[in-house]
Amino acid sequence: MITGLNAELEKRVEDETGQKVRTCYQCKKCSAGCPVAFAMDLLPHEVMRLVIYGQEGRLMGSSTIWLCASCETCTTRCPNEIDIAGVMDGLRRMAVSEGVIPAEPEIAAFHTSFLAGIKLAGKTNEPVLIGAYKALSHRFFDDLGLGAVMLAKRKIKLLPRTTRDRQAVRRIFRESKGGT
Amino acid sequence: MAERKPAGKRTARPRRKPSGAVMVIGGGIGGIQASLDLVDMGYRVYLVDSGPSIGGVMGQLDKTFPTNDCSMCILSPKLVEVGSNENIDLLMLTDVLSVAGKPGHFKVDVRMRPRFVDIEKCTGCGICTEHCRVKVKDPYNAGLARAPLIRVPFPQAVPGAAFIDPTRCLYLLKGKCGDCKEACPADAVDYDQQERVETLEVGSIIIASGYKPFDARARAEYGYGVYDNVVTSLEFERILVANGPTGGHVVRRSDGRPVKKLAFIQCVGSRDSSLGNTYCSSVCCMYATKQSIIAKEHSAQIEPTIFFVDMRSYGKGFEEYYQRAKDKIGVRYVRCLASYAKELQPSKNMLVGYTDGDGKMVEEEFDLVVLSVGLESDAARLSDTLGVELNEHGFIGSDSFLPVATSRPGVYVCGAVEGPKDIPDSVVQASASAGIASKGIRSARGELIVHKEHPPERDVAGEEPRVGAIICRCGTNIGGVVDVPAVVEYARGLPGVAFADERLYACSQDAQEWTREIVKEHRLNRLMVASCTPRTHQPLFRETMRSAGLNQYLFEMANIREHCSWVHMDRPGEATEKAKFLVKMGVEKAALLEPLVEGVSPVTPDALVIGGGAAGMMAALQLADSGFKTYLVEKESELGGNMRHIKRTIEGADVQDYLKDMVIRVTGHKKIKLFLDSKVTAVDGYIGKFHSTVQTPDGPAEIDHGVVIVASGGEEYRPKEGEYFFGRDPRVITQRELERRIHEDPGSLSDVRSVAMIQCVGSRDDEHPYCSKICCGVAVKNAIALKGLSPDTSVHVCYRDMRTYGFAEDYFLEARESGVDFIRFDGDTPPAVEHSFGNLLLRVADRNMRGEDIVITPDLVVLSAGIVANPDARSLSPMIKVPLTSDGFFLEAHVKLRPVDFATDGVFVAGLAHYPKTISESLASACAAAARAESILSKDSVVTEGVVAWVDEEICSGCRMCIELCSYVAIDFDETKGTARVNPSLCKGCGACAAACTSGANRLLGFKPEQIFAQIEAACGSLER
Amino acid sequence: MSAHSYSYFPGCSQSGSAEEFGLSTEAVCKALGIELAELPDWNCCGASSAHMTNGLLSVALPGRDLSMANLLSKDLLVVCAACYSRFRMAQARINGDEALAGRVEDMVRADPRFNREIRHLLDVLVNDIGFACIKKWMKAELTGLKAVPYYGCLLVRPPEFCFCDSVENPTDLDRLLEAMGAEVRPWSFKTDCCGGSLSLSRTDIVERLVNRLFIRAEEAGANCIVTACPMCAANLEMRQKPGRFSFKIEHRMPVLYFTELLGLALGVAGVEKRLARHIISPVPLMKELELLTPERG
Repeated sequence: MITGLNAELEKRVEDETGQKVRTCYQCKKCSAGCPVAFAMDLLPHEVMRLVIYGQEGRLMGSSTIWLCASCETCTTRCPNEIDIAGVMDGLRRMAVSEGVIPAEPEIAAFHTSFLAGIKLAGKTNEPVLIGAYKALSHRFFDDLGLGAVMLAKRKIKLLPRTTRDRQAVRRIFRESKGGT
Repeated sequence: MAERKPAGKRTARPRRKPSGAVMVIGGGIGGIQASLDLVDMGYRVYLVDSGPSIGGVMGQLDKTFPTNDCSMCILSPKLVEVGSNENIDLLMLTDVLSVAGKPGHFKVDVRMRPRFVDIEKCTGCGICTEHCRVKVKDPYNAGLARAPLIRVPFPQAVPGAAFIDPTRCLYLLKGKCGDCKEACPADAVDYDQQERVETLEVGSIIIASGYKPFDARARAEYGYGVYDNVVTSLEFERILVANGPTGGHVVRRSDGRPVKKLAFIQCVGSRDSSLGNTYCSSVCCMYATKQSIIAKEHSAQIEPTIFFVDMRSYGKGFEEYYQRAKDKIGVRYVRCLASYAKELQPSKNMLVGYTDGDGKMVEEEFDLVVLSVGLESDAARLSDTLGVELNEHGFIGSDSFLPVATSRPGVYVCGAVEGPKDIPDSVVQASASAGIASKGIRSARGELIVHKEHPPERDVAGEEPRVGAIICRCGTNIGGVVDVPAVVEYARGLPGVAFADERLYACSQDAQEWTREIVKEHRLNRLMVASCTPRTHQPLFRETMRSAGLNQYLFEMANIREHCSWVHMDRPGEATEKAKFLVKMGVEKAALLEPLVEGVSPVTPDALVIGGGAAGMMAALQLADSGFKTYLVEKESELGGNMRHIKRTIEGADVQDYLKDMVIRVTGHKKIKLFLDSKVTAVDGYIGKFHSTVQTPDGPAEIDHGVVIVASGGEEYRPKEGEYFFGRDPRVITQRELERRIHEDPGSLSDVRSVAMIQCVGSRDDEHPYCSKICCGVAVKNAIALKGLSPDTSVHVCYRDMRTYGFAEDYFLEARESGVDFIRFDGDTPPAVEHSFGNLLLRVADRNMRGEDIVITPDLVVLSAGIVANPDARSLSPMIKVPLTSDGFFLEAHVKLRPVDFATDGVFVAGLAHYPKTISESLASACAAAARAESILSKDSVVTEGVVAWVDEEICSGCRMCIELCSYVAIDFDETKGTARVNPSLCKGCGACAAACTSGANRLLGFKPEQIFAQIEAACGSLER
Repeated sequence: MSAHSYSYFPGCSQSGSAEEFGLSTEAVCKALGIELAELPDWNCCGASSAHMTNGLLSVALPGRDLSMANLLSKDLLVVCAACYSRFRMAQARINGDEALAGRVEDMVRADPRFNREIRHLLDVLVNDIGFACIKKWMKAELTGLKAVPYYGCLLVRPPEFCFCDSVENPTDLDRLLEAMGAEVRPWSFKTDCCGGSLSLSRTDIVERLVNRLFIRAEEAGANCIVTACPMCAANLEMRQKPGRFSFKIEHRMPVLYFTELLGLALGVAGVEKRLARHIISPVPLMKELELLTPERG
């Protein structure tokens, strides 16, 4: 049941993303073409409805906003020109900046690990990324076989590649803190 | 130095009479209807089309919704009517170059491109087509088939002559080939024809140029143009047609295998901001439903699925059509716009992705995908040439009250070029534009009309029958199968035949002259032509009879083409025998034919309009402006009807201002006699000669008139007591009341923070199964207005399908953009309104959230109450002898092609009395009804057909069976004589009464029992003479 | 041929798990006379993780690289589809919002407003170099190769950044492959998502998407998938049936970068050597089709 309808979340989403979610007329084309919708708890068109209903908690706590792979298929085909992937981004970023516990902790952990790696070195290094991710997600034993093969094929470089001016990179991270 | 005019002198210029001709641009159903109406009203018509024949898109359709009539069957009689009318000049392959002048005196430059075939000589036999070496994509078949460059555009084309598509003609480009000219037996091919530019003088112009279908390649996710098994709706229509590229078999394009799973994807190119076509194309939901039904008729194994957003079945009979398709016929409707159509290898099946109502993701395989493409405007060039403005969507801009008026005086518009619409709405606009276009040139009525002169009719009474038997070869159509000389020889020996011969083309110009000669030479008094179908050629031969000085009803046709040579092409011997039988039958009947007389019935040039609402007033004004005295009867004490309660149109135009103007004009009009507080209590008579009684406050008034226009209106459905607390809680009101408050008492809404609207109250339910058409538009209109008054007020509209069709879709978008919320519910689980601690609570199951309940606390609940028929209709119906539908609205003669006529001649219907509609639609239908009425009133008399039923009073027992059977209410009971009496003014000659008459008293003249029996005996006997 | 001279952003995977992509890119560009000046000291563009969690970060990271590209005064060439998308997005947002541009300028201490073009290598090959030129330089035809071109998401979406001839049915890569003599098998799944960055965190999703792609490729009669995105290639090769100690490869269809095939066709040294680096080795197929030269095998 949905009660307590309000227009606040919608306004925030519009400020964040520039998208007018209310122009949606529920054709469901976004959901129909979403490659990861099968795994979502809320379908993209339902996310639009809930934004209009102002159901912030439910949206920020959904798996959906984390599962969105930003493939932009929905955005490309929406007849009302709504950037639905952008709305997903906006909701997720709002959730991150408000510290909402993500419904998909592994996905959040991946992003954290990835960004930590860049903050550290300026460039992505697979061992760092994978190490950090496993530590955060406790998925220690996944992909061991694959890892071995990749090492053998020299697809994983053990020597880290770095940006020399790592200060600059760290400054970028510092100054975008809290930016959604 | 400027010239100085002598002071005080003004050259008086005599007012020139306007031209009595009208140019109609576009030969589709709109242009055809407008042309016929204009001619009927006494104006000459130049019917211009850029293509080689008239017919338009309607000529390409298989069936039409909601009646599932065969499109060509209902269209081709109109094509023939236009083609054979001497007052309509068909200018085919013609473009309009420029227009100068002003209303009444336009000079139009037209460029007439060469046809390369002499229409006078060509008989449409098709031999040239067989010889042509070059083929191009055939636009008539939507590009699905290839056709030779020289061809008759389609079998029923008018003009029925061939044309050469010059783009790749070897002779015209390189001087090579020339086979068609050599092959043509009529010597009709003329490569030397040149383009001509002519200037035509006309008084008015009507634009009826139609639309072009959306190019589906722009919605590339569906793969049109890339994958074989994706077609557009127009292509699919050609696949369905029996004489189409697949012979009517519903097969896939990749491998020709029969289709089992069929998918329709709606809204392709419509309701689409990303493409710029934000409007709704109005007809696609219905045509997809139709195509699904027809496909299943072709093959029961076909499983159609329609992927849609809102189901817009808003017109008369549409909702029932949709429900039947869904519940009885098994068409599957999935409320989700499919995101893509992908091709699977190697099967070339199409994979369509969608989500079902329960949140599951589905990928389903289909054999064929049909894209329901929208209607786009093709008017850019015309708008430049004619100097008329386009609206934001590129369609010809029109007036918000009267959609047939353009921005340029004297130029009018009708049909899809004004905005996407279906056939009935196009026909209404066509008649309306004809009526209005003729207003300004009224003084020239009849000036340019020609009437054919005929020699006096010879009296053949007492003569022995001397039948002339003409056996036509029709090129090779008949002659290639039937042994024509043998049939001629056979005919010569038949009793009654004074002369028999064959012709290559009995219908050609020279054959007509020859026929006149032989009639004279051999003193023939009857003619029997064995050729093709009377449907197309009977008028032509009857004309020949008249020009030969014979009564036109002394003519009989035997169809040895459609009924013989065409269907027995592989059995020439048997076909010849059959042809002989058909000829014998024809001769036997011809010998018994009697001359028939066409009656002439005088016309009282006055009109009666019942109902003084929008439609009634407009109809009265139209007729009165044309100079006809009109009696306008209104039951209330003031004019206006429902219009009094509407403040604004959805476009924002001020309705009350317009109404005020209208009322002033009506009450002040010299030609309108207004009866207020009055009701019609009796209507007697028939077309041209009605006599009615009106009960006025001053006693009964007797009036004589020639026509009746029923504009008795409709009413707002009054929700039942307690329905959503209506009548019990003052916070529950209808849209009408809301509109009043918004515009007249906005203060009363100042405390309203939250509004909930409920759609479909009193519509689409068991009691009123139809859709009231306008309520979605009204809700959107009022919602926008509410948001304008107070942007922070939340407005929720609970709907089942948003039916903001056509350009109203733009307002639906505006409503959403201004913050109105739309919540979809199911008909089975409507919203519930409850009381909670003195507040109103609205609970609605949101079907786009898998049925989750949404709870709103509105300060105001607005019910979008539907439109119900005026209860007075139930008494008016038997009084005027016109039928009602089961919903109580008046039933027109034909839902598609005669939307303002009744089967009873001389009676017309307009406005809500016909069906719910918007103000502009009501006004258009009123103008249409008035134009049709005018075509009767402008004549001194109406001619009644010769082939009518006739009752022999001596034999008639007075059982009245025929009276009940007659659909045209053409038979009444003579009390004094105790017998039935046929009114030849109304009789259509269908023969139902004659067939039913047990005593044999009722006979159909021209099809009398002895004539029919003679044919039967000839058919069942032997060929022995 | 200094007409084709670009500043170059290689991207992180080009030197890591997609090294064969990076090396073949450089080799092919050299062979065709495309001059590449690598941005000095570039940083990661932020890929998906930045834009998914922090909009400002997602613009600022590429912003630093754009400010460096500014100094080189050339158009910027990007090969990784994800980097390409991030750069185009950052450029559009920076150039379209002066307040944002100012903010990023503060953060990176240089001007991030890049007014030249950001090009993808495929775009340059198809539209600037042209097939006629490529054909002139080709040493071998890729006869027998039945390829399905896999564009993935970010090369074509969002549409405003798409350089291909169609967002839904692009044919740029198809035509390049045909120009190289390969047979392009018709299939409709060119732009279907592989699951992208969900590779580690929701491998189950990627598994489903990737297997579906292979099945469709097999139905289309292909013997290899050609891609332009390192993320897609990684997912396709490594996520068919992920597991702990072992991972299965159920569809042994090699996944190749278009630059590797171009390298083979142009006879560029070194490309063949690195073919064996692929998780699903394309070497057996190449041998079967006799596309490997004896000297270079």
